[in-house]
Amino acid sequence: MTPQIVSKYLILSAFAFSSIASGCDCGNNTWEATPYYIEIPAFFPPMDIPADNPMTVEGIKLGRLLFWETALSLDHSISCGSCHAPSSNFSDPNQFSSGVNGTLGDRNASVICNLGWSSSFFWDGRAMTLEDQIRTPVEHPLEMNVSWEVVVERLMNDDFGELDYPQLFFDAFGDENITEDLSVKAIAQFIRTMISADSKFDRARRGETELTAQEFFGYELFLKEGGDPEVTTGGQFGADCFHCHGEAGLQFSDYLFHNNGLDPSFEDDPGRVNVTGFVLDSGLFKTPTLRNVAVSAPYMHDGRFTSLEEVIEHYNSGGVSSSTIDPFMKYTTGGLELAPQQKDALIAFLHALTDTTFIQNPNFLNPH
Amino acid sequence: MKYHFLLYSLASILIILFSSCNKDTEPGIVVLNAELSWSGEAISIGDTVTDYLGHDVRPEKLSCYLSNISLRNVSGEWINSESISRLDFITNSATANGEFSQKSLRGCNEFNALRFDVGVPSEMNTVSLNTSLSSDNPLSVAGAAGMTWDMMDSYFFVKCEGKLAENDGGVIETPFIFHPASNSLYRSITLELDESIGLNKEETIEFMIYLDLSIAIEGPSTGDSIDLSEVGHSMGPVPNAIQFVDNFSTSWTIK
Repeated sequence: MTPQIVSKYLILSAFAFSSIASGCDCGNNTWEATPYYIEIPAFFPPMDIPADNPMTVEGIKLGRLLFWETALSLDHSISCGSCHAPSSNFSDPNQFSSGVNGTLGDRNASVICNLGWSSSFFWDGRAMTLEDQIRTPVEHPLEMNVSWEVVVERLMNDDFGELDYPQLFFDAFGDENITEDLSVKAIAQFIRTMISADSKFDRARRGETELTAQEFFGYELFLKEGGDPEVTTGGQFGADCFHCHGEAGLQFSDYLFHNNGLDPSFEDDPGRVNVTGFVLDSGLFKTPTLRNVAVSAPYMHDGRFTSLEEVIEHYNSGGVSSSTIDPFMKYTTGGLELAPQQKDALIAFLHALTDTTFIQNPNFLNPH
Repeated sequence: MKYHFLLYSLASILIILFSSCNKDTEPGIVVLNAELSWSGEAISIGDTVTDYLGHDVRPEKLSCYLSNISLRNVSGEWINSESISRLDFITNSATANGEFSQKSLRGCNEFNALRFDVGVPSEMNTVSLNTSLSSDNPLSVAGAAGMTWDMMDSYFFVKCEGKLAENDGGVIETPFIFHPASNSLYRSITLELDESIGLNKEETIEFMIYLDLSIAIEGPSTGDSIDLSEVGHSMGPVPNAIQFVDNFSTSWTIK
């Protein structure tokens, strides 16, 4: 065999390989979305992105439009953004959100911040993926109260002025047949870009600034065990926040569910037990992130506290005993016993978790 | 002709290499199915039991890091899967796996003892380094499920939380929390098998192991007992936490 024959073999092989490799795209060469690569902030863990919903520039653009689209509600009165206001860390500053026709929900709207790292969704964790979470509010009778079938029909056929949703779906997914599935995928892509990583605390971690002495004192309290060691074994006179709002990964949440001693019983809202059926989950709710907590009022699953001072006072009191109260609550030993200057320091630290570049990010605001 | 021969040879070598690589990725697997008991009786998290001091006790959370599942062959040599799992007793059972590479299973593969460690090996016991891990890793931020000790940049080795009634017939509300942590509290547990067992590549063998939580509290002898009403929050390497891991390492049996 001459070198020329070897060359022919190689060329033919390369041609055959490229034909096989490109075979799956045959007849579909007119669509190509632009991959979007999330830049993971310093000290953050990797983000899980579902294999069936890769991020694209076009998908994120469509998701943002849908997030703010009032056609996703029965009477065209509200969008996702109506109950997830940017200035409130993409949550609702009202205790309960108003759905269509002014109907009130029964839990405070969760914040939308770094949800790409969350492993469950809703206060009771009933959705295991961001996509599944997004599906729910559209059809919920106390929220947007419209079937996805109607939404899809609207997006396909209604006049949205300059917006051509079938074309936008084609740009994002290569298919102008709009579906519920593609709609939630687009919104999920948008939400995964909503990353907060530029608070004063973040900048201090990156060595770009320093916390004040008061903020740092609050940070130390945050990481210390609670209680008087004479009364509570292991106590360090700290605020004991870190067990549930852990600093690892900088999300300030353990992604778990706890009963933090709000009520002696749970008839009004049983919480996590409605999902698991496990009696020890009665009265448990998901640990929220503390990122931007200073602008996330009201607090708790039912929005009962309107200020950080009230929240700190609740934990300082030890909470109300019940069958499933978390053992970390100091309900049998008189609470955390934080002094006024300690509470102030803790609140100062919590304010250092505010990321104004996130809540004012023009890429997340209403594009309509 | 010479070129044909060279091409065929090259192709054959590549095929052999790739096929042998594939075989090397088929490990032998050991599955540990753990069940929770109290004084020899199967229990679930959330059940009420009675401790050696007569307290009504309700364990509410129990999980631990279980690492380095190893097997000892009948020649006395240990092979190590270098595994790391978070054993989480949601109700009364939990599972951990160890994968043994084909290479490690060459030679004598009849085994007569099982060993595993409770804790995170010291070289991995650093939370900040492990933020790069994906969420399905038990040491990742999500995978650790709260078993991180941020202040000391390390992991809890065991999370055992619950409540007890301090008085006879009283309300079960006094909390107890064991969060033993720090490298000095890392413990190895060796369980002898009644009969030797074989493990080859691509095979899976399952063991039932039993954790008797009452022994972790009462200990193997009187001086080892822990009074749960005085535990409070036993974090890190404090005396109650040390006693707990020492007792905990004697609380396992195998069938």
